[in-house]
Amino acid sequence: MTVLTHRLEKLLENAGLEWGLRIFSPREEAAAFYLARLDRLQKFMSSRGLGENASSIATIELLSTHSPFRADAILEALISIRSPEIVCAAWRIIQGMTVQSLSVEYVHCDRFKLTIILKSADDEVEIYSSNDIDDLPFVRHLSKCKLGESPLLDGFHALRRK
Amino acid sequence: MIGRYDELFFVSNPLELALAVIQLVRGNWPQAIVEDPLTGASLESAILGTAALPEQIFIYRDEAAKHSWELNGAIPANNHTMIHLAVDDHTLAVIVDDPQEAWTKQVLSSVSQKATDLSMLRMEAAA
Repeated sequence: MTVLTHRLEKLLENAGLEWGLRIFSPREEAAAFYLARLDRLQKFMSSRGLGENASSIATIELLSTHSPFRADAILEALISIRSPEIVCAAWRIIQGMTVQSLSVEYVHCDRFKLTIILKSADDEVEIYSSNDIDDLPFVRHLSKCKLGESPLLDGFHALRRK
Repeated sequence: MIGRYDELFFVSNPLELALAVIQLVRGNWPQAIVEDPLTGASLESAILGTAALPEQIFIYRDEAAKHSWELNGAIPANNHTMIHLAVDDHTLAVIVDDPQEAWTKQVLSSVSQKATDLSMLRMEAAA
């Protein structure tokens, strides 16, 4: 086990996400798998000019100190969402971007498309999309409410909190 | 007058809900100033997650509102220009001037719905 996989395993255990480790056999392969996902996320963020280190283990460790609920949310995203692009959308919401629009298109045994448009406080817009139905769990992590009669989807949350 | 009404939300993670309130309020107050009232420090780093959110948070509508509050305190002209959040282990208090004021009422209702939705999400996940 490398230092990085050990640190990621500790983060998952401390967040109460041991189940994400137990679903692998042997269990030791789990952290390496999630580390590879994190690496793909970092490469994706770098390709979008969003900062290569923005999603590093060190950043998640820092979050787990200051805002454990946000660290838990990104760790769950690493476990349950397939595409780096959609994990990145989750990460950007955790960093404070708001969900401007969300669309899910599905046709039985034909196609799936998830599109997320995010907006920053400076009105910068970022678009994320995926054709992989294994990214659908993203939607489940959003919380909803109404502002007056207007619908509001916001916040990417951990579903399991200790 | 600020401090006249406290809406209390009993939740497992009040800081998570406080962050949601900040984002909700900023949707209507795009120039909002969010600060730690004890130090006067901006909470932008805490909002991004690189520092901890404190237990007391002031959200001013804009720079002019912050200036007026610092100069005049809780005068009627400052009504509805600042929201105070106070957090302890299991409670978020959203402190406002008048909970019946139209926009304030909407915000308090949204926070309540948000708290309920988060609880429901987690109960479903735990079931």
